[in-house]
Amino acid sequence: MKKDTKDMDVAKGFKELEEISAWFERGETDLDQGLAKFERAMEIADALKKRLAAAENKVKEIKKKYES
Amino acid sequence: MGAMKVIQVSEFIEVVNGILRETLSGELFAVEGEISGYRVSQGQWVTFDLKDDKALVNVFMPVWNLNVPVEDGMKIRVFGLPRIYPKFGKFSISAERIELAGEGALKKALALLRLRLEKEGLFDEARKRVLPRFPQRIALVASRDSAAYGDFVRILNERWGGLEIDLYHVLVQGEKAPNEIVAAIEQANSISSERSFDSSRRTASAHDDSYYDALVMTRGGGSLEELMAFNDERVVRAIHASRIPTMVAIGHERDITLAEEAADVRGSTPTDCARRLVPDRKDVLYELATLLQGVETSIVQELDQGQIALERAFASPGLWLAGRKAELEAATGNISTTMDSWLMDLSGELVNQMRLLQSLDPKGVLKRGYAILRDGKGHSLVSAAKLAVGQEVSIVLNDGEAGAEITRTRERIQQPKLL
Repeated sequence: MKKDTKDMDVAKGFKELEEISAWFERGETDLDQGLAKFERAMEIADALKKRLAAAENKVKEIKKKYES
Repeated sequence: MGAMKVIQVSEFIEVVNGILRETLSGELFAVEGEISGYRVSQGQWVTFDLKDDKALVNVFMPVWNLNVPVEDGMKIRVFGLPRIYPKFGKFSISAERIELAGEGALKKALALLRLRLEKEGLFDEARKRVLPRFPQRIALVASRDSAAYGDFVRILNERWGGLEIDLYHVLVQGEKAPNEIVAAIEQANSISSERSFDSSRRTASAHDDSYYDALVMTRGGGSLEELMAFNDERVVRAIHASRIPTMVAIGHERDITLAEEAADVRGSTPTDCARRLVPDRKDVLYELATLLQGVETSIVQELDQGQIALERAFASPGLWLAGRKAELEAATGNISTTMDSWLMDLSGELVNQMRLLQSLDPKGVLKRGYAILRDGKGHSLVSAAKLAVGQEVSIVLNDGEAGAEITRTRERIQQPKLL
């Protein structure tokens, strides 16, 4: 797994995946590129699945500078 | 009488004002009454009469002390000190602040403020921003002790994980609430712009322009009076001014608060707010699977196409050869047929010619009993006129010849031709 797929930004991952999907839908015919993109798609999907498995949201209380 | 001090008017007013100040300061009471003759002069001084059934008192205040919009007929409470204005000798309450009294006045004030802010464009649909689909970090302005906060966090956890929530704990009702809420919104905004620069350099965030993806403000339902902090003009303006996209959900109230109207996104309840903020991970996983399946189908199709092309490439030289062969066969076939019939025609012609030739062969005629007469030099003799009696001739017959002598000649008279 490449480094950039660790702790993946969901929005970014989805965007890239959608771009790959669109690339294929355009009917591009470069097989080498296609295979590389497919591999990348699998990688992103795997990272996103892992990211989505994160169970909890972190709540942190901000120190108050504003209390009157 | 003699002990009585004579003082000037201005001194007298000063004394009276001093007594009033000393005895009535410290917010001992608020004066409740109905507004009449409300007027703003020079854009900064507010004056009106406050009255009940039996009495009337003038109220004076700078316009910036007016924290709620008012108009004639509204019931309010005035907080401040009474004094006499020296120049005109006019007794009036110099108001520090006012408070609306009763639901009716609240509603009226709210309607006025709504109208004013609406005209100013604070609720314009056109300027509403869309919240990111997958927020990473949010500022939450709420009371940590409220049920609204608990509901919000619980629903968030049910749907999504890995979200960073910065809680800005505030009072959500009462006199101090508006100030705290405004300060919290401002602090969140300044933290957001401070940190967005660092974070955009450190980690490549998808939302580089802002540290927080959303500012969420929520509280549970309540009476109109309890929710007034969310109708406060300062709060509404702070939400409108927020650079972080805002989402406000104030629970279960028929009337929408102005804060909600000014927000980019409105949730009807804290729970609804959580649903609108984050997607359900189940939906996202499904979508992910669908997307991936599409890509998989595409690559498989592409591979299939490659294979077909490859097979075609291998098969095509053979096919080409077969094609050429067939063409050749067809061409040769044509030629041989043509040749055959040509030969046939030719041999037919030959037979005819031979037959003709055969019929012309004088030897054939000899067979049938005719004879050829020749002179001594071998020339054929065909005319009786050219014969002379006593001339020696030879007679050619079918199988040989014989010598003879002409004994007589007689020319045949030519008969006219019938045809």
